[in-house]
This record gives sequence, C-alpha cells and structure tokens, in this order.
Amino acid sequence: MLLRYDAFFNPPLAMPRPASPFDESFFDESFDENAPTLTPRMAIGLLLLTLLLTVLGGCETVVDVNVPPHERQLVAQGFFAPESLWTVRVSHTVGYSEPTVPGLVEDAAVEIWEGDQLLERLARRDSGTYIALGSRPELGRLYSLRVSAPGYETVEGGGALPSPPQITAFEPALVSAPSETRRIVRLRLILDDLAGETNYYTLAVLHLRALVDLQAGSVTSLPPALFPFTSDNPSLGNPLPNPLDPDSPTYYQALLRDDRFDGQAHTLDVEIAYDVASPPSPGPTVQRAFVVLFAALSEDLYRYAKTAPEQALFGENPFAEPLRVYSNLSNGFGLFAGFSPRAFPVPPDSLLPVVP
Amino acid sequence: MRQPGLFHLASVAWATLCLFCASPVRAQEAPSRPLTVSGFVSDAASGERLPGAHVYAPDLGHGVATNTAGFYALTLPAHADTVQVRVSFVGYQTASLILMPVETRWRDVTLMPETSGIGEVEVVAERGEDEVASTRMSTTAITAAEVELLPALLGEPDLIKAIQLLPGVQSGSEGQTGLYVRGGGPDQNLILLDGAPLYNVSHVLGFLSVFNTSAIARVELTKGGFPARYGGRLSSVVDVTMREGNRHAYATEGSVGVVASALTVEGPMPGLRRRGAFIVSARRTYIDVLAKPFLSGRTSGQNFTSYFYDLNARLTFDATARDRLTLSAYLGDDVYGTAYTSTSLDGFRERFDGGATWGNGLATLRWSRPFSNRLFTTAALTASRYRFATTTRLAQTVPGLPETFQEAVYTSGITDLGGRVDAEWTPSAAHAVRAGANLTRHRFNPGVGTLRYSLADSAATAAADTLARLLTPESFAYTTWEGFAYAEDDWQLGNRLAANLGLHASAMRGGTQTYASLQPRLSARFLLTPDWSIKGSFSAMEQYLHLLANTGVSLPTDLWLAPTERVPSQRSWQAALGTTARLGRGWMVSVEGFYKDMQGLIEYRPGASFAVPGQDWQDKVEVGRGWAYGGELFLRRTTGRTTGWLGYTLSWSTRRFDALNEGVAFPYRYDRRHDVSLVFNHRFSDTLDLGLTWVYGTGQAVTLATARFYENGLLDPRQLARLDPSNPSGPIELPTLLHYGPRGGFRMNAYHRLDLALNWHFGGALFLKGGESTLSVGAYNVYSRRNPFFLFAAPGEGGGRVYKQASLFPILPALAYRFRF
Repeated sequence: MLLRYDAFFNPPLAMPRPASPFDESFFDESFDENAPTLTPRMAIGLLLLTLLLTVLGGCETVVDVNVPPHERQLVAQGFFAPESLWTVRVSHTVGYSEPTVPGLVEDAAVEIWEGDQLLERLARRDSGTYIALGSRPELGRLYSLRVSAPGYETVEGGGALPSPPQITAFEPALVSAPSETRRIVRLRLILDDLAGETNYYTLAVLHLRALVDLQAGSVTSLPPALFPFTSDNPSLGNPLPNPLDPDSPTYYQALLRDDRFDGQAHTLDVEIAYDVASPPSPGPTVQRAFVVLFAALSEDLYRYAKTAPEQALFGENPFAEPLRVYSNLSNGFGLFAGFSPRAFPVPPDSLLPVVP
Repeated sequence: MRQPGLFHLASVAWATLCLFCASPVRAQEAPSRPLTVSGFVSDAASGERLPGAHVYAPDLGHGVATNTAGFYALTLPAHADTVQVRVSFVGYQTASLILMPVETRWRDVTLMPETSGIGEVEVVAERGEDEVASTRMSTTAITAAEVELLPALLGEPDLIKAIQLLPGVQSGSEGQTGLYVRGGGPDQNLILLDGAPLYNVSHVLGFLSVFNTSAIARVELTKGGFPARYGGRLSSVVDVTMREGNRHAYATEGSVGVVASALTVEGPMPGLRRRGAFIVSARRTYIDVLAKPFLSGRTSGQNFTSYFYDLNARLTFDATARDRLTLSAYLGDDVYGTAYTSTSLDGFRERFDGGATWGNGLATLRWSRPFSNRLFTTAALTASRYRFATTTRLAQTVPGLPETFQEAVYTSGITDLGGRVDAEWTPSAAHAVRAGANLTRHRFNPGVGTLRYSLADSAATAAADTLARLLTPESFAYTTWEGFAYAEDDWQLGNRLAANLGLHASAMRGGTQTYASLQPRLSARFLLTPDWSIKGSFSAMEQYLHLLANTGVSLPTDLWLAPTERVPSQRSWQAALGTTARLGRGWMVSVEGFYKDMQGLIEYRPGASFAVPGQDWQDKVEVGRGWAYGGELFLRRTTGRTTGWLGYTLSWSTRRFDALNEGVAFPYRYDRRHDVSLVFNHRFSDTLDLGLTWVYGTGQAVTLATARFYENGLLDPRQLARLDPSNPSGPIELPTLLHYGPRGGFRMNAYHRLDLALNWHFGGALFLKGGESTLSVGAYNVYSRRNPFFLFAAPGEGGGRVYKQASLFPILPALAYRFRF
C-alpha cells in the first residue's frame, strides 16, 4: 500500500507540461486528432514570437552572468504515513553553475527522534535511501529528523502525522455512456471536516493498468499513473488550464484547504471519462482499474506540494517570477512531513449505479 | 462596498477643513473688491494659444499659469493702480507689460518666439518664477521643441523617452517607453492627450511612443502633490497638449527619419477669417518597405508587413469672441503581418495569412468659455479606445476539391466614453478656485476569440464546432462606470505662504462591485526669498484599474482590468517635501524628498506569466502593498546657449505580499538605488547645435537560482515502484529543482548609455527657397554598452546551468531630416 499512498505526491511532476495548444499530450485519452490545429491563442503566440524575433533578433547579444558561489548543503526528504516505515532519501545540492549534477549522499547518519529520544538510526539502502528497520510513525506524536554527513552542516526538521480524513461516504456512479465504449463516471466523497483547525487535503485518481494477452496467457502490469478528472468544486484550487474547454478545469491532483467548509460535512464530486476495454480479442488488451486517493496533509507537506510541482512545471521562464520550493529543514533543503491517506477502489462500470 | 476606515474619516475631516478654508473668500471680499485682469496668451507668429505660460507680478510676488486653453486670470489687490507683469513661456521671449486693473480688465498677450542667434540679444527674462512661486511641486513641463533637440533612438524624437530623463522617472527595460514613477508601476500613470486617456502609448512593442512631436505643443508631468483635478492613477499624470495650428498662415512641416516619416499641415480654417485653425499630422514607418527586398529574396512566396502609423488632428473654432470649440482626434495602429503561399508538384496549394493590429483611437470635443474675467468654464466629451486584434487564416486547396480554411480571430481592449465639466473661478487675489466633475463608462474586453472554418473532414468540423462555441464574444466583455468630483483652492496666505487645498471624491461601479473614496490633497509653498521657496505636499489617490502586463516588455496583449471582489482597487498616499530656487542666468535647482505608500498592488504569482493561457487572471496574481521613498535633485537651465538638466534620484521601492517571498518585503523589480540623467544641449551658432544625453541606473532587481538539488520526495510512482522496500532497485533518474535566493536579491548589471545628436539648421526646405530645414545626425549608445534587457537560463557545462544576459542595441546611428515652410 505504500506505493499507492505515496503516489499522491507524484502528479505534478509526472503530469504533462502546462496546457498548451501545441501540446497534444495534454488531452490524454480525450484528445481528438482531428481537432483544428489553429486557435486564436496559438495565432497570438506565433505572431508575437515572430514580431519579437524580428524586432530583437537583429541586434541581440548575449553576455554570461556570474552567479555567486554556493556552498553545498544536504537535501533530505522523508514523507511518512501511519504504519509506514520511515524512509528518507539524502542528497546534496550543487551550485547553479557548477559543471556537475547533484549527488546522492551514501554516508549520511539519518536519525529519527521523538523529543530527546532517538527512535532509530535508519539503515542505508542504495540510491541515497535510508529506511527504518522497525519503528513506524504514530498519530499524535511529534518527530524530528536529523541528518548529518561529513563535510556538510547537519540538517534538522520536525513533523507529525495529521489526523486521517473522515470520509463518511464514497459513492461512485455512472453519469453517462456516450458511446459503446465511452464512460463518464462521477466519484462522490463526503468529507466530515474537523472543526477549529485548518486542515489540508489532496485528492487524486490513480490509474492502474495491465496488459492482458489471453492467447499467451500473460498479464503485464503497466506503471500506475494519475488520471485526469474534472470538477467544478471551487475548493479544489487551481486546476491545469484546459484550452479546449475552459469551463471544465482538468485536475491530475487537487490540493485543498478547508477554508470554505471548516467543521462541516463537505461533498466533493469529481468526474472521470474513459474508454472501457474492448471485447476480448485474439491480441493483447488493456485492462484498467481506478482508485480514488484522498489524504490529509500536514501544512508543511501541503506547502511543499504546492510549490515543488509548480517550479518543475513552469521551469525557468525569463518573464515570470521564479517560485521558491518550500522546505521545513534548517541548514539545508527538503521536507520531513506526514500525511494520512485513504484509498477507495472504483468498481467496474457495469457495477456502478446510474446517476438519476 | 468598502467599509469606511480611519482614512475615510480623515478625508471627511479634510473636506470640512476645506469648507472652513473657503470662508475667508467672502470675508476678504467685503471691504473692497479686488480687481481681476484676464486674457489669453498666444503665440504672436501663429496665433496659437499657449497653455502653461506664466503670468507673474514680481512686485506682488503673485502669479498664475495659463490653463489648457491659454487663459489666465490674475486677481490683484484693490489698491493696485498699476502693476508690472511678466509673461513667460519656454521658447518665447518674455513679455513685460504694465497693467492698470482699474481701467483694463481684459488683456490678451502675445509672445514672440525666441529667435536663436549668437549675435542677438539674450532672452530678456529667465524662467523659474513659476516653479518658485507656484504651490505645485513635483511637476515638470517640457515642450515638443525641447524634445526634438534631444538625441533619439533611430532619430525618432520621443516624448515619453524625454520624460524618462526626468528625476523620479525610470524606464523599464532597454529602449522601452514604460514609465515607472517614484516606485510605481507602468499602469499607474494617467496619460492624457488633450484630456482623453490613452491606454497604450507604445509602438513597435514599446520601443517608440505614440506621440508625434510635430503635433504636440507641450507635456506636463506631475509625479506628486497632485491637484484635486487629477485622479484615477496612483503615480503620475502625463498631460499632453496638442498644438492648435497656425491661425495666420498655412504651414507645412515634415520629417524624414530612418524608420519613419511625418508630415504636418496647419493653417487657418478656410473661410473663417482667423476664427479657427486646423492642424493635421501623420506619421508612418516604412520598415516593411525597406526590408522587403531583403526578405523576398530569401523566401519565395512570403510577404511580410510591419509598420505603424499615427494621425493627429485638431480643429479649433471660435464660435463667438468667448466661445471656443475644439475637436481633437488621434488614431494610431501598429500593423504586422506575414503571409506565405506554397504549391506542391501535385497541385496542393496552401496559403497562410497572419496579422496583428493594435492601437489607440481617441477624440475630444471641448467647449470653453470665460463667463467673466473671473470665471472660466470648460466642458468636454471624450472617447478613447485601445484595441488589439490578431487574425490568422490557413487555406488549403486540393485540385478538384473546394477550398478548405480555418480562420481564428482574437481581440481585446478597452473603450471609454466620458464627459467632464470644469470651472475656474478667481474670487479674490487670495483665492483661485477650481471645481469639476467627470463620468466615464469603461467597456472592458479582456480577450475574445472567434473561429471560422470550412473543413472537408466531418470529424474536424465537429471539433471546430465545439471550439467555436466556447469562443463567444459577449461572454467576456463587461462594463464599469467611474466618476469623480473635485474642488480645489489655490489660496494665497500672505506674501510668502500659499497653499492648494483640495478634495477629490471618486467612485466606481461595475457588476456587483462598488468602490468609493475621498482623497484629500494639499500642497503648500513658503517663499524664503523671491527666488527661493520650500514646498510640501500630501495627496491620496485611488485607482480603479489594473494592468495585467508582462514584466519588462510592453506587449499589445497587456490587459486593462477592473477591480473585482478578490482584487480590490489600488490606493496610495504620498507626502513630499522640497525646495526650489532660481540661481540666476537661467539656472533652476529643485530638491525633493518623497514617501509613497501603495495598497492593492498586484504581482504575478511565482511561475505565472502572460504566456500561460486559459487561466482566470485573478488566479495569476497576488495582492499586496508597496512603499517607495527617496530624494531627487533637478538642476536645469532653460535659457542661453547651453541648456539642459542634470537629474539624480536616490530611491528605494519595496513590495510586500503575504503570499510572495514568504511574506517578507522585497525590492520592486524597478527599484533603482541611483538614477542619473544628464541632458545637454549647446548652440554653437545659428546653424549648429549639439544634443547629448547620458543616463545611468542601478541594475534591476532579479531573483536568481543559486543551487540545484534533487527532488528526493519519492514522488513519481515509477520511482516508487523501485523504491518500495519490497522492491529495491538501482539508480534512478530524479527530477531536479532549483533553490532561489531571496526575491529581488540580485541585481542585473547597471545600465548606462550615451546618446549624441548634431543638429544642422539651414535655410530652404525640400529644394525650395523658402522655409527652413534641420538635419540631425547622431548615435544611440555611442560607446556600445551591452546593457541588460533580460536574463535567461541556459544549459552549462557538465550538467550545470548558467545565466545569460540578453542585450539589445549596440551603437545605432541615427539620421533625420526635418523641414518647415
């Protein structure tokens, strides 16, 4: 289950680049190859680019700019869930202009503390990963991470598990079947929010696929991926823009806070659209299943999940102000934070009730 | 509606104070009624009236400036039998006259233009009396004639770039026409052309401004101590006045430059016998014409269009001896396009046409009338629109089949319709009262797309149908109403102390939103000597517009937007203290310090930019506050052989947004610690003069990455599959993140540049015997400094990254020829 739960935090890094008329991958399964390729925004982009290049191209010169030297620091990251083994990966930074890539740190001392008590020194695995052999996080306790390595300052940070989300109902239902193979499914979660505190959540739909070859008698699992969904719930925050349908924002992972429903029962409706498997045929077919993942996040993890993916998404746009990635560690970078997930498998469409 | 706060309570108190202050008007009138002499100040040669001329009575230490209609009303003490008055205006010889107010209540004055010449008598009087004696501060006027003597990019005189050379004003990036006044943003400047607002003053992506100096009389920049008559923007008012045209004779003026040519025709209105005048001025670039031979030689079947044009016109008609009607109009567009046609061997033909057009259009109809020599009124109707439109069309023809095409159109812009009335009343020698009101309807079009198509494939047609339905124009446009009323009194409190007290009340309504504010204004001066005064001012401002703009470059896609529930209006208050002195021999010096506080500012969220489409603009921005403070030195000489100025600004401009930079204050992108402008013009002889400008500015504040690190967070499910303890694996590829230093914590390289222009004046124009000509030869960026335009990241060695600085203009020669006959 660790795999599924941690997958919450993948989406922004794994998802496509921001929507762009040039980026067909944005449309995923719903992309229509026959759609016209010329849109007003595309036209603007092309024209402005042409203009800018025309005006500026003839006289532009480029000069290198020196960035101040950087002293390498440790980067540690450990996200923990109830009953999961402590797992921390340690690497180090490099200067922006340094002619090398960041490196993993294989000789670090990684310790989990609770107050003044050392709970466990994690054992080193490969790829800069350190894991616990016995201890696991528990609800209601405050832990701290301490990482040291020769030649680096010790980094420290603390975190706790948030209370698990109170999902009182999960109600998937079939909205429509526009064609023989097309299905639109509504996934409804009813959340009972804890009052008197700011709570942070995330919601994603995990797409599990397997390649089934009846003739060969083989089943090959494909890497899990996050599946796009739509929602008009304003609490879900900023979705990825959808240029073909601005009124239907598309999410791969939604981050939300309880500002609009503090202490109340809140209904979250999202919709997914997909094609069911074709009837059995002599060749291999793709079988798919969906799991709705909903987790309560610590504030630190929420802030990290807001900033890190956006930086990775938008890159180094010279006309945009850069985004700083949130960190709760001192003397270094990274995050040590907890989350409490819940998973809800979506039944096959043939078993779903129909939305009245 | 915003709840009244302490600030508004203070405003109400201010209004009460203003009413109290007005009471002495009646008290002073009672014993003996003061006498007022009024009239118009005009150019003796052309008959054009001169706004901004100064009428000054040195013995009384009292003076007034002519209004935009060239009207003055000088009220004198009742005991004054004869009064000596000096009337001055830059570029004209000062007139000295004796007024006898008991006998003459109306006195028109004509000023002779300065005739340059070494052997001639130097200009009689020096300017500066108005700057010293006026209650206004932080205000500078420049005439178009002064602008034309300055070196210019590609030889094209530019009003906005001349303003950028004044202290307290900064340009944005290299060559841009954006104005950043006292720490404010480019949207915080009210730019008026004959009273109507202009929303985008840029041509060629911001490298030239829309003002054709041939049609402009003068420009006045106010960057603080705003009189109550102005409102609607936080940082400055740029009031541009067009010329009226020659009432006495027809004249033609033209210029031929590297990138543009202009032609101006003016003269008396036919059949009206000096009761009216017209001026029409047109300018067009011909980059496309010049570039065509080079472009067409490279790619067959390809056409390229690139030009802009301006058309200014003004008609003035004196309906009666007192009633004047003025119609001013401006129309200007940038037009860019590209087209290509290709035909394959099998007969398949494809044609692409793409184009973008953006520009302003405005018109002002003004009626002015002095009802008495104490009361002058003006009423005006204004219309202004800014529009951006782009069209692309792709057509394909397969032999034997009908043509298929798809055409996309995108438009955005803003349209204003407004009406305004103003009254100027001079009840006594101690008071000059102004009051007025304005109502404007804004129609915002924040981006509309339409699609037309005829496609062969039914699936493609269906998809296009879906897209076309989403591009419904009316779903985007919306309307707001904005109005204001004001009253101000220029109050003479004895011989040394004078104050301008005012109140500006404004409101905006749009949709469900209503904003209202009371904005007190105060400026005062104290004369230490007749040539030296100290001044102070306080002004509150409110702005019901936001500009969603790209940082650094003026693009036509910049959107003007009204405040919303989530993004409130902008507010500011500014206090300034300074001193102005006349040093003799035409020298003036002014030193000012200011502090400005701004709220309701918007900044793009980190990572967001204009280039990310399909997102609500409100989601792209954060709202916060800012403050700026600093000092300005302005040393200027306006008469004599050598003229020009030295401007120096030492300033700090800071922003603080809860959601940016972890809530910590950071320097504004255009925070410029040191800003120096040296403007120098020397007249060697009647025929030769030299213009020189040198500017220096601290580099822009930028945020740079200092380190790179792995995103270690086990975020990718494919990684997770390998990192799960039950499924260990070998090395994996990790995404890399960047650590950025503090926001605005680094500086680009400093900006400095020297421009030169040599102007040769000679007789004859366009091979004609009459008239006069000027040939200007110069260079922009004489020592070819590689100034920063923007920084961008690029791959470095061994997986590292590097920042590179893009620079635009090396040394650029300039050549321009101007003629007049």
